[in-house]
Amino acid sequence: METGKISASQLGCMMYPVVIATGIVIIPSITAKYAGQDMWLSPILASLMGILVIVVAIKLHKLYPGQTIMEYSVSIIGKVPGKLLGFIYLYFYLLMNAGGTRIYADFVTGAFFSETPLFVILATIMLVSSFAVRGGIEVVGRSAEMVVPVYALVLTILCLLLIPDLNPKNILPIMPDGLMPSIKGAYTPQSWFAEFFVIAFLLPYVKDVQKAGKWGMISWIFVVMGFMATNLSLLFLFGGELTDRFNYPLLDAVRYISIAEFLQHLESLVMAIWVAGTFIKLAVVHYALVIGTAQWLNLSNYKPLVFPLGFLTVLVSIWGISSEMEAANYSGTIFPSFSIVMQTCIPLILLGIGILRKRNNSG
Amino acid sequence: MNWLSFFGVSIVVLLIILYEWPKMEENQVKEKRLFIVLVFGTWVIAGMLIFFPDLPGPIDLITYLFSPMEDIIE
Repeated sequence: METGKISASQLGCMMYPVVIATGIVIIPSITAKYAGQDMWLSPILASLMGILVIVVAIKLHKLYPGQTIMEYSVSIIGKVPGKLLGFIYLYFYLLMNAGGTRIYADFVTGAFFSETPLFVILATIMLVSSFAVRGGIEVVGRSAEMVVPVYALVLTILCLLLIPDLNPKNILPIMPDGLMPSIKGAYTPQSWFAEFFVIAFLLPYVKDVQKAGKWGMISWIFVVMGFMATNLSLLFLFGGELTDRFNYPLLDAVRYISIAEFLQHLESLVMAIWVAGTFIKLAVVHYALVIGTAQWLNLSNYKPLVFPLGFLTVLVSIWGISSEMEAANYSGTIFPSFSIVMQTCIPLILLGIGILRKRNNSG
Repeated sequence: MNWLSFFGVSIVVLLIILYEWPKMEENQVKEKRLFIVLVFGTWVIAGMLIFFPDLPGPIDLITYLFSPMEDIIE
């Protein structure tokens, strides 16, 4: 069905924006709400979830090489339950991509294009991502390879430019109420780290799959560093109390940057990397959704599904979420709970059953 | 205004069909069927959402299922 192949390094590049593109803009504010000045600790705790899902996805792929989760869920738990689970996964990824599109559109309309109707923003980004997906996995992989280094570089530069305004004392006192606030603050970011599980759909198309684990970890390290850098910069700049009042604290932080009154209004840079990163994120997740649907129905070609499913994603992203408040609540607590079930618990159970099955067969 | 939006959505659906239909091969019957079902399904959903924006959707199901978690976190 998919004739293209990507390299493990492209896989790493693709995963980086999947986690960080939407995360970096709304996560700091949600984390700060629960963790206060311990918000720098939460990404570290949350990132453990990232390692877990990468290891689980790679182990599952080793048990059933060349298969995606849609195929091996049928081999592991049987035809009917496997297909049922597959459908729930499609549902999950549809909602996940719709949520990502919505976060993007809320940010763009809220911060820049306040007069533009929401659906125009939603439809345009989905259209671009759909064209990338229709070109196949190689197109997505190469666009990621092109965008991600620039993305990481710009993010680093922005954090470096903030240094003159930082006040490291904001971090004190460290853990006044124990670990609990940072664990609560880690609850939302863990679902973003768990999105690394998308590799379960991509691993069969990786040329040098033995390196996939290594590149997954490299991608993971960069994601953790990105989250740490932004959370620390925001904490040092605004303090834990204030960060939670901004909807998009990173944007407000970047508006602060003014070097010699010459280098300022850099928020357009945030916008540029944000659009590029979201493009890759939506393309990768949309690819997973499309290839998953095609495999679920045993189709020989996934391309006709790209645009109808993209249209459906746009619809779902406005369906049932009428305000930005509701959207924040959904991505803050509801989606992370769904994610724990779908991207952590079920894969772990699948892995357990899969290992037992293989052992029984061989012994 | 509603009918105008519906007209716009119908144009989008038409463009998807015009773009995708000639690209499909003769023998891909299953793909063609699914494509038609998906396109018309989304068209109907879009139409319903334009006229009844408060329709409960897939996100509401998840919100209903997982809202008890909210109390644990708060």
